[in-house]
Amino acid sequence: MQSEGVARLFSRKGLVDGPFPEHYEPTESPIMGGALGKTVRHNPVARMFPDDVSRMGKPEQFPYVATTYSVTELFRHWTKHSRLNAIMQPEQFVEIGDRLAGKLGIAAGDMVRVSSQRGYIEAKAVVTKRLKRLNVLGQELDQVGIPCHWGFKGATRKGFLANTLTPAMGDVNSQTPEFKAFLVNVEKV
Amino acid sequence: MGMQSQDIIRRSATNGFTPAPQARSHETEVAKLIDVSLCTGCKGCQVACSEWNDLRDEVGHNVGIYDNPADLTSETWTVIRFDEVEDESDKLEWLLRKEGCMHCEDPGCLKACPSPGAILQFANGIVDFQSDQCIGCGYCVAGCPFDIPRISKTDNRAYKCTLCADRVAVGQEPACVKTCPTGAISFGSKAEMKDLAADRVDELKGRGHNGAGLYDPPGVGGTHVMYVLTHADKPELYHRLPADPTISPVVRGWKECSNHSVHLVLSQLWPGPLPITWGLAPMRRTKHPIRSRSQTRRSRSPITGLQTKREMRDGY
Repeated sequence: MQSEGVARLFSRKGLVDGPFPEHYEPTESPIMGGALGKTVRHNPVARMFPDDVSRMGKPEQFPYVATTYSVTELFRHWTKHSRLNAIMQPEQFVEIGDRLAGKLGIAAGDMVRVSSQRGYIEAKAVVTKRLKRLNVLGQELDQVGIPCHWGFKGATRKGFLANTLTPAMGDVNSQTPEFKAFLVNVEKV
Repeated sequence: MGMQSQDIIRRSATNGFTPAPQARSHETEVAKLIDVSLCTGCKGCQVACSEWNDLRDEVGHNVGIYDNPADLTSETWTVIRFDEVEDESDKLEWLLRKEGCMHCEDPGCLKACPSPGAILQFANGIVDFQSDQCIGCGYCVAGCPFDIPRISKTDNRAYKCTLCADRVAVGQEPACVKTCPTGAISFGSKAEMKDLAADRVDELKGRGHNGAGLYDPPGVGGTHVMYVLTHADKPELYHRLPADPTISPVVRGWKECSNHSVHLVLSQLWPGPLPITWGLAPMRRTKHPIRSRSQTRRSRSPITGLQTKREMRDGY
């Protein structure tokens, strides 16, 4: 509260978008309509280079939503060089919901290939009830969880770089890459 | 070992003729309490166990589950078990349990072991393997109601959690307890741990976990590793934790019968069995505050030949 009796909001000059955050769909999204009932689907001021745009996948070829994350046993690509951490989580895996796994005939421990418009990885399948099939705007969506710790040589078993799959698209202000939501396909190897 | 040798109350494949050392009287029964409702599955306990005990297992494989190494081995003495359980209303719970030796009050491994002194029980409740005495027969594996001991492929000896007997002997908590970042593992006297568990169970019940309770199974005389379970009414949900673990009748039978028959043979051969039993009996009467829990029934009855046989049957 300021002396004139109202609040003020300060924002740094130079923000491309803001100061209030707005929700848009990820650049790669299976939702074909606009975000939250709006007509605009993507952030209109995002920096999109033609080469990167050409590497974006379509839900027809890549129907599943993927996200990348870390697991407690490993820290980024650092602790894979430590024997004890490697023992705790020795080999690359992806997490697949039990309903999607059932549909694709994938059992826990099977080797699967996860591909996006940008490349593919192969990893063991951890089939889990924790990744639920979602219902978004009447559309059934399956999610795939991709921990990113393997790839590069280390004490763990050989693996693929999870960022082979992720899109080169940044947040409009911070350029933080959009590695938390993108489209993939999953096949049993 | 050293001073710890004076705290041994049971010794595998050893008959009841020789009484356990009794001079020292200060040993308290200890217990580790694992509160599964506080566990986040970080596996810090697994790493701490490997660090303290200088264990380095193989860098294994992912077999489609979070559990890694995928099972207990001679180089992995504790493993976090991850189980996804859905109740009737499809509510999903990810149940975690730190699996390892339960340090039974009535240890099936010790009972089954045919090698003298390969398995010891200390006055504080810790059950420990003496690897130099182990003959690798695997009877302890068959005798354990929790499926814990593992035989090494390298040296053919059995291994399991020691409850960090070396740390406890010098007044420290086990390594897993020390490292647990959420305080899910506690260590102290068994009485203290039961009090702590009771408080925690009350709290969990107050938060709607009606099945919360302490896991201290009476079928093995209670354990020195206990769990606070949110579903104590259904312990099998936690990676097949047995609801009522008991020592297999086969193990009980072969051990008790063999002790019995040894005595029968001895009593036939020995010219004067009675003086021997009389000589031993007064020593048995010496009650030890801790040791008496396993010896009360032996020391109370009058000394007769029949009673001696019972003593033999109870002997380890």
